Amino acid sequence: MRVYIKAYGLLGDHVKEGFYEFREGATVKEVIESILPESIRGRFSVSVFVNGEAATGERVLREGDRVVLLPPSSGG
Amino acid sequence: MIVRTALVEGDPLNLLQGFLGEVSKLAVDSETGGVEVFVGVVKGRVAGVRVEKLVYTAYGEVASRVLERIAREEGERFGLEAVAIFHRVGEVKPGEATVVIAAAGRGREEVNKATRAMIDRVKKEAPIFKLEVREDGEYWVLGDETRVKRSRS
Repeated sequence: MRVYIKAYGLLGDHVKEGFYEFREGATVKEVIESILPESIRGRFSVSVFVNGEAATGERVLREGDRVVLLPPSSGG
Repeated sequence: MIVRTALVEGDPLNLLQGFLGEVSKLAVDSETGGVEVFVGVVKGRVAGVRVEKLVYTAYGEVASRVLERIAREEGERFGLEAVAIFHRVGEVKPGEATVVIAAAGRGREEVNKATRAMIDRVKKEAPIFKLEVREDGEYWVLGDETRVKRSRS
């Protein structure tokens, strides 16, 4: 299945925006482990939104889902 | 309660005047006695190093909802009459405003506490990301002010 991924902030330096191919039933956790280098995953917290709603690592993805990866916020 | 929030590409101070006008009208027939405004600006130097600009990006659809939620919750918590959060996105030069936070209420104590609470929450909760472009390189600034030198895979 194809899933669209966009990463913001420092995560965007390591994940190119676009469609990625994953197995049917892949979870958010699997996706993160697949596309984010371990050096980044282990160092920064990553928040995930799927189709505009907050999602946990156990969330099962579906064809066409839009996944957003966020590092720690730094507004202000 | 008046709640005004926005992510803006231009100067957020431009929106402040309209908000203050609304507060002025409100005060004519209410107990509103003061407005506190916090304006964040870009530092020209960090630890002695010259800053060229900040570049803000935001996960817009969620960041807008978060700013509105923060303003509404803090406004209600402190019993305010009006609150505003206007946050810049895009490139911002030293001396320019990055964020404007305003609170209007009966007295200075509650508006002071509310503005502090709102800026603290904006830094931690809004999905807004800050890249600091300096003479010694580019750094991602995290919410706790940690700086991470930019690297690409």
